[in-house]
Amino acid sequence: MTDDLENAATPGYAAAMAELESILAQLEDDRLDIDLLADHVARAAYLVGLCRDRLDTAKLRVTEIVADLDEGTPA
Amino acid sequence: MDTRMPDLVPPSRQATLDGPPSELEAAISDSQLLWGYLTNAAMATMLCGPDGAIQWASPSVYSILGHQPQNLTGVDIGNLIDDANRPAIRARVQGAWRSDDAGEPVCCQIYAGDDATVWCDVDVLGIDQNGEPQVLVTMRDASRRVAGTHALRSSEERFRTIVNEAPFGVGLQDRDGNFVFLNARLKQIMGTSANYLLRDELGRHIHEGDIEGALATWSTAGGSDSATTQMRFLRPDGELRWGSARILPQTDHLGEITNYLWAVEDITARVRAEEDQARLYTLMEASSDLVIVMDPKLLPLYVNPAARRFLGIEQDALLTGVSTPLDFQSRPTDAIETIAQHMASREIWHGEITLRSASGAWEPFSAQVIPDHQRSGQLNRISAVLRDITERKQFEERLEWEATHDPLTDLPNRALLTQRLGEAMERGAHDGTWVAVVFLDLDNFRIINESLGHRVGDNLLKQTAQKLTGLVWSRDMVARFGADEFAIVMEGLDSAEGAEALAERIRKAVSGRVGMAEVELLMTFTAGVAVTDGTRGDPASVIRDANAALHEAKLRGRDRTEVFNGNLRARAVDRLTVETGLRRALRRNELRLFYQPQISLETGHISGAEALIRWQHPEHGLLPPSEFVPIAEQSGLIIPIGSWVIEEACRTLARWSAELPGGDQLTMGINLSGKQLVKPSLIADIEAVLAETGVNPANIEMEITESILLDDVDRSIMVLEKLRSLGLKLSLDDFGTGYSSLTYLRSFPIDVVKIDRSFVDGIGNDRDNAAIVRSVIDLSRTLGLECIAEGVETESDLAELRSLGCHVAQGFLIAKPLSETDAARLISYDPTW
Repeated sequence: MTDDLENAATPGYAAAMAELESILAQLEDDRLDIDLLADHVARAAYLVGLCRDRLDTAKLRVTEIVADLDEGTPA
Repeated sequence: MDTRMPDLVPPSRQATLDGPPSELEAAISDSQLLWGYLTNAAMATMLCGPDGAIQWASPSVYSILGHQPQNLTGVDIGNLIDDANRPAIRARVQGAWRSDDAGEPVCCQIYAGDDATVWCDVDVLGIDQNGEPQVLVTMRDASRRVAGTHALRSSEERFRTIVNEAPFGVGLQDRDGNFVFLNARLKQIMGTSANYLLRDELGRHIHEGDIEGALATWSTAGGSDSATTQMRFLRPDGELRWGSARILPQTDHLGEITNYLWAVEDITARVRAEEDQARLYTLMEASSDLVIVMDPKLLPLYVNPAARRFLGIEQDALLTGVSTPLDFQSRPTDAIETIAQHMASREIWHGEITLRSASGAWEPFSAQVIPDHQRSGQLNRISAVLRDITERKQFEERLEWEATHDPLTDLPNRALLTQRLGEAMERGAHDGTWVAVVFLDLDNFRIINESLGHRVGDNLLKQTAQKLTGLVWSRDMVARFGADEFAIVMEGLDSAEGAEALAERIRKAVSGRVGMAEVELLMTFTAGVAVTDGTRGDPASVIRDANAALHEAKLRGRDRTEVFNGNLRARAVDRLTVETGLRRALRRNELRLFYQPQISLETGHISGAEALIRWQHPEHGLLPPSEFVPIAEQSGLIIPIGSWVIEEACRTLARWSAELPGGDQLTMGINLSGKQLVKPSLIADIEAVLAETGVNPANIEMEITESILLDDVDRSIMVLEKLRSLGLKLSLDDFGTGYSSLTYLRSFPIDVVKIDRSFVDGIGNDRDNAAIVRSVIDLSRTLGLECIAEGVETESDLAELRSLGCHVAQGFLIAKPLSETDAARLISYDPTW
C-alpha cells in the first residue's frame, strides 16, 4: 500500500503532505512577506497537485497489479 | 507486507494455504493467472455466482476484512457493500459475465467484522469456469488512500482559505492572460467582485500605461523564475492604487507553463509616502534653513545644502559616508550638551542658539531639534531644523537700542539711565560708595533752536553729547533726558561732597564758545546734582531730587550748579503748601491787582498802567508774583488766575474810563502766560470779558514775553493774530532778554515793544545800553511800533529815553505798583514828568 504512494519521483506523498502542512502553517503566519507568500502559494499548489497525482496513481486497476505481479513471478 | 501476514492470518488458514488446494482450488489452479488473483495476499478475492452468492473466499479475506472465509460462503456479496454502492456493485456482478470490460474499480466501504468498515477498491470480473459463468470480485484495501484523500482535501480547503484571506492579492492567470482566480484582497485592490477576468477586461483594472509593463513582466516571468513589477490599479470609483506584483510561472510535469501565479501587494501608502518624502527632500534641498539629520553620536545622516555650506561639508564626503561626528561650536558653549540631554525626554527642543560657521562667523539660529526613538526607547536619530535669525536679532537689538537710546545723540535715554542708576545704587550700597546724578540743562536752547534752526540745535546737542561722554569715566553714564537736558550717573564716589565739584568741573568743561552756522555761540549750562549712598530711596526719587536742584539753579539765574539738600526739599514741601494755598486764594478772593502807571514821554502825562498781580496771604501778608506765579505756572493754576487777572484789569479800566477825566484814553497792560496762550478758549473768554466790561479793546495791551512766543512760533503768530482781530494791542514784554534779534520783531504781529529793565537801568550813563536802546527804538519806529521802557528809576534815564524818542516810560521814578484806589487817585492828580 505504501509503495503505491511512494513509488514515484520525490517527494513522495507523505513528504509532500508534510511539506504542504508546513507551508500552510507558514502561510498562516501574519508576518509572512509577499515574496515568501508567492513562493509558498506556488509550492503549495504544486504539492497539492502532486498529492492528487499520487492518490490517483494509487488507485490502480486490479489487472495492472496482477500484470505487475505476473511480470515479477517466474513462469 | 508479507512479514505482517503470519501474525494476522489464523494458523488454521495458514496451514490450508500451505497445504494442497481444495477441489475448487484445484480447479482454478489450472490457470496461473487466476491463481495469482486467488492467492494474492494484498487482495480479498471472492468467487460468486451471477446472483452474487459467494461460493468461495480467499484466505486474505480474513486479513483484509476480518471475516473467516468459510463464513462468507453463500452470503450475498452485496451485503458486504455499503448502502450507497451496493446497487452498482450488484448490477456489475449480475452483468459481469456478459462483459469483457472489467471497468474502473469502485471505492466502497466494506462491512468487516465487529461493525467496522474497510475502504476497498472493488473490481468485478466475469469469468467462465468450465462453461459456467462465475464472477471474480476482488477487494483491495484503500484505507490509506482514502485517508490520504481526505487529508489532502482538508489541506486543500485550508489552502484555499489561506489564499483567499491572504493580506496580499493572489491571482491565477492562464497562459492566455485571463484571470481564472482572484482572491478577496486582489478583488479589493482591483475594485472588482468578479471571480475571473478576461484578458480583454484588464484595461479596466490596470492603468493603461502599466499594461505594457505587465505584458513585459509576463514574458519575463515566462522565461525565468519570477518577475516583479509595479503597476497602478484602477478602481471603478476612479481611485488609483499602487501595487507591486510578483508573477510566478506555473509549469506542468513537462515543464510547460500552465498559468501564472500573481502575488500583489498594495503599496499605495508606501508610494505616496515615497512621493511625500521626495517632495520633502526637494523642499529640504532647496530650503535656506539648515536641515541636519544625525545619529545620537552626531554622525551625519542627511545634511541639506544650506547646512553643508554653513558647516563646510563637501557633498562628496556625505555620499561616501562621514565617519566623524559633526563639530558644532555653539554659544553658549554648553548648548549642544544641553540639547543632547534634552533628547532623552523624547520632546522637541525649541530655542535659540548661536553657531559658528565653517568660515568662522557666529550666526544666531532659531532651532527645533527633534529626537526619534526606537520602540525599545533607544535614541535612534536626531533631526534639527535651524533658521538663521541674524536679521531678526539685529532688528531686535535695534529695537532694544532704540527703546533705550536717544536717536539724535546715540546717548542712553531716561529709561536706560534709570535702570543703570538702580544698578549703581545697589553697588554703592554694597561698596559703601556714593552715587551722584547730575542734570545739565543747556541754557536758552529753545531760543537757539528757533533762531538758528533745528539743524544748528541738533548739532549743538550732538557736540554736547560727545563732549560729555569724553568727560566722564567709562563706568559712568551720560544720558539725554529731554530736549536740552542731559543727565550723568557717576558712581564709586568717595564722598557726597565731591559730587558738586565734579559736576561743576564737567559743567565748566562743556560750557564755552562754539562756532556754529557761521555764528559764535556762548553756550552755558545749568546743573543740578543729587547724591545718594544707595541705601535710601529709589532711582526715581534721586532723579527727582537732581531735577529739583536743577530747577533751583535755573531760578537762581542759570549758568550755575546747585546740589539738592534739605532746604530744597523743604522748598519742595513749601511749593506744595503754596499750591494748596493758591487754590484757596482763588476761592477766597485773596488775589489782588496792583497797577504801575506809565507816562507818555511826549506829553509827560500818565497814559496808562500795567496790571501786576499780588497775593494777599492771610498769614504772610502781601506776596510778590515771584513767590507764587512760578508755582501757579507749574501746577496749571495760572489758567484760572490769568482769567481772573484779565477780568479784573478790564473791570478796573472800565471804571477808570467811566470815572476819571481822560480815562477813556488810558491803556492797561495785562500779562499773558504761555499756558494761557495755548488755552483753546482764550479768545472766546477775552471776547466775553470785553463785551461784559465794555472797555475799548484798543486800550488793552496784552503783554507776552519773547520766550513764550518762541515756544511755538507758528501757533503764537496764529493766536496773536486772533487777539489782534479782537482789536487788542499786543506788547512784546522783557524785550532783549532772549536771543531774538531785532529782525524778529517783524515776524510777530505786535504793536508795542517793552524794553527790558536791564537795558534801561543806568541808560543815562551807560553808552552800550544807550546804543542798544537807541537801535531798538529806531527799529521800532521804522516798523511803526510803540516803545515802552521799563524800570526807569532816575531822572537821567528818563531824560535819555526822552531824547532817544522812546514813547512811554514805566518805573519807580514815576510810581511803584499801586492799589486801584491809589492809582486812580494819582491819575486824577494828573501829574506831569
